[in-house]
Amino acid sequence: MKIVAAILALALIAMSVFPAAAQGDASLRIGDVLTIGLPGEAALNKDFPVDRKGSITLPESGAMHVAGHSLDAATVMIREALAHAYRDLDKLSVTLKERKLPLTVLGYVKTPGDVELAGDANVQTALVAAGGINQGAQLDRMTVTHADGKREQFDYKKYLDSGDPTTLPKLQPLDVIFVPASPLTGNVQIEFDGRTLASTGDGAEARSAIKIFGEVATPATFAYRKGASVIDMIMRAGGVTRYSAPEQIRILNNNKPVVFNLQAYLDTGDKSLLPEVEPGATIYVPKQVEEVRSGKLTVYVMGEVAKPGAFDARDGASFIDVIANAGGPTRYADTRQIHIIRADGKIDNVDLVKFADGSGGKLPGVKPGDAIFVPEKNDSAEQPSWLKIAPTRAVQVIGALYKPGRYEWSDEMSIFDLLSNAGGPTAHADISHIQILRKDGDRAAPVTFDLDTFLKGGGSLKDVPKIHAGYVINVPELPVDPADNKAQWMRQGPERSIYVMGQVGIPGRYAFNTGLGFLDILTAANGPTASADVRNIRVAHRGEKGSRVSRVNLSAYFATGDEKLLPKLRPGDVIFVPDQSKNYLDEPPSEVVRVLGAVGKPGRYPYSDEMSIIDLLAEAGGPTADALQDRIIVVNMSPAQTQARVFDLLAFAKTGDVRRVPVVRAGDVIYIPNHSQDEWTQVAGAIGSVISAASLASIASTLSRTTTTTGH
Amino acid sequence: MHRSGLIVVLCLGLSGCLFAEGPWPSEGQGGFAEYLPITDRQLQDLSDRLDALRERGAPTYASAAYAEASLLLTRCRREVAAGLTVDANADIARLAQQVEALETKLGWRRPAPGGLS
Repeated sequence: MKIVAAILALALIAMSVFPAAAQGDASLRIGDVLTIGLPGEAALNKDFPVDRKGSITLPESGAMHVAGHSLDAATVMIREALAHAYRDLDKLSVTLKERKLPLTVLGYVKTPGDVELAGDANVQTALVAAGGINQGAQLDRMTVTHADGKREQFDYKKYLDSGDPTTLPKLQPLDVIFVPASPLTGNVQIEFDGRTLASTGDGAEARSAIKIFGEVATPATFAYRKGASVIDMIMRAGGVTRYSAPEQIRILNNNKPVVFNLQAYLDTGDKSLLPEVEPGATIYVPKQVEEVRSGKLTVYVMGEVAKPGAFDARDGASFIDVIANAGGPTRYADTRQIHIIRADGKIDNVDLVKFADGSGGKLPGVKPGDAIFVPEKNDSAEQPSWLKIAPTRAVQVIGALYKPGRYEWSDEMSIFDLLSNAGGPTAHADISHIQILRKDGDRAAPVTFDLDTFLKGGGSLKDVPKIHAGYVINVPELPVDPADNKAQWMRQGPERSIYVMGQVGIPGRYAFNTGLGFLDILTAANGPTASADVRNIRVAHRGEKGSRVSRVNLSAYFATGDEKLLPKLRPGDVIFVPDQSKNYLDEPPSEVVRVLGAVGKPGRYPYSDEMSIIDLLAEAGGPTADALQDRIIVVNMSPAQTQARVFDLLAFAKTGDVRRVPVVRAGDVIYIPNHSQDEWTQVAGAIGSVISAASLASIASTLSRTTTTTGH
Repeated sequence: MHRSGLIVVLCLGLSGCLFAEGPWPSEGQGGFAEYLPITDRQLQDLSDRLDALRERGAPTYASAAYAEASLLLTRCRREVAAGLTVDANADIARLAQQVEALETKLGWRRPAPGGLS
């Protein structure tokens, strides 16, 4: 026990004595600061730094080299030197006040230059004193050049990783620390930010660095690390992107290509699939689309979608799923005509718009192996590629429209949609006779649609003809000038014409629809001429069962204003306006009164019941001078009851007795005898008297004979 | 023999008397019957109905038909006055038809015949 205690006591003594001894033993070096004390001497009693040459400058004696000597040796040297100037040096003391480390930090640091540090400073404090490392500095290849010219390279990164001070070189005064720039910073000085810099990799040595490019997050050159696998290197590059083809990663080891299937490795976990990465290897992760994908579960989407390509469709994936996975249709897509090309070659059409409207029913299912083709929309009217619309989806619109042409058709549209899409009818369009050529198989049948009437009068929408793809719609043109319609008469079908003949301004063939009336047409033909017989206009109604001609008394119309006097016209009808001086054959006897005998103008006169015999006689120029004015004969013609009556004009004129005027009706005959007829009647009267006398005589003779025989 | 000769002479004589009596037809009448009162009762009825129609505005709402009926009335009155009874009856029937049509058209039925008297 005593022995142990003695040893411990010795140890304690040693510990308290040796540090001072150690301090005293250590040789002085550049950067140390000595304090020389001598009471009463103002020139001393202050700090004396060891300068860069290893000397201190003493008062009275000048510079003295102390570096490399121990403190004790230096004290003896100082004492000797001061002895020449000072007498009493018993109280002289020389102490090492502090140690400093003068260094030079150069290279990629913020403030390169000389720094003075505490004696035990290391590289890190030196770098901090120089303002810190610049971005872009190469950490693993720093160098320290010692005062003796010896150069030492060290890995500062390794120190930062481990914290092991032994990895750093021991610094001596006047050492030069050099921080190199990374080769990745290039030859042009620019501002870096750390993230960009790091993403470009850390490979410093071209020979051993691993190059990774292709579909990785940060293609770059990375420092080779022993034992790192391909996975490590890919991770270092930020992993593969979603466009990568992980089955086809290529590695070039010592100029020898190797294909690495990452997918298979992840699926199996088989380490033998992991190839070695040798220093200087090149790793390429190819893009997915560069590889033709095909498989049992693949569905192909092509055309106007955001991301065309091949997709793996699991069972139950719907059409919408597939289209949505392909990024959906673009704005150029014709979503009404999406084709699904089935694996067996059958083609289905999908109308996505119809489905979205809620009127389309169910979308078809998509099975693996199908291809979905989204065609481009044919939207530009200026340069339409008409070949893109199949005949089974197009209608042809021709005639008097602003934009006639071939239009894509869908059956839920109506003829109104079509006409408005075609710019509408022009001012010269005859919309009352729109012709629709229906096609049914290899036959076509025309239908006429009166849009004009429908627009004005409305009606059931069921009456509007249904249009289907393949139909031809023609909007005919009206004649530009009705007077010039002969030049274009071929273009105007008889079913939309009306004919005006006779005494009108411009007889001819006029475009007509049922909305127009009798007066429209008559006015269009510039109206009746001066010689027209407006009481007897004839209208032949064609296109009816049997034949019918109606007579229009336009004069009566103007007298009464009754629209019922005007006939209803239909296309194809003929209007004839006769001349007043027409052939007498054209006037039936039942409509005239024949005035004969001793009048100024005997003849046939039209008669109305408003008139009387007086009017007729006046119209016929009145009785002549030799007329028997008291014996005017009126014959009332009637199928049942024909009778003759005498009119005594003289008596009527004298008395004004309206009772003595006979009735006259159309069809009757008026005869005005003259005086010669009167003489003849006198002769006849004489003959009658003779006969009467003879008969009296015969009666008398008969009576006398009878008396004679009775006398016998 | 004498007897038959006597009859021939008598006939000739009688006819001669007739011929000598007037070679001219009798004087006509009815030419201005519209200015005279109506004698035919049926015609009077129709005339009243036409007057009623006129009051109802027939000349405005059915001017042509009213004018035609009025003209036909004139004709009927003349025929009746002239003694052309067959033609008059036919025309009165036509007139009755037209008046009927006019009343239907104007939506008006005349009061029952009892009410008229």
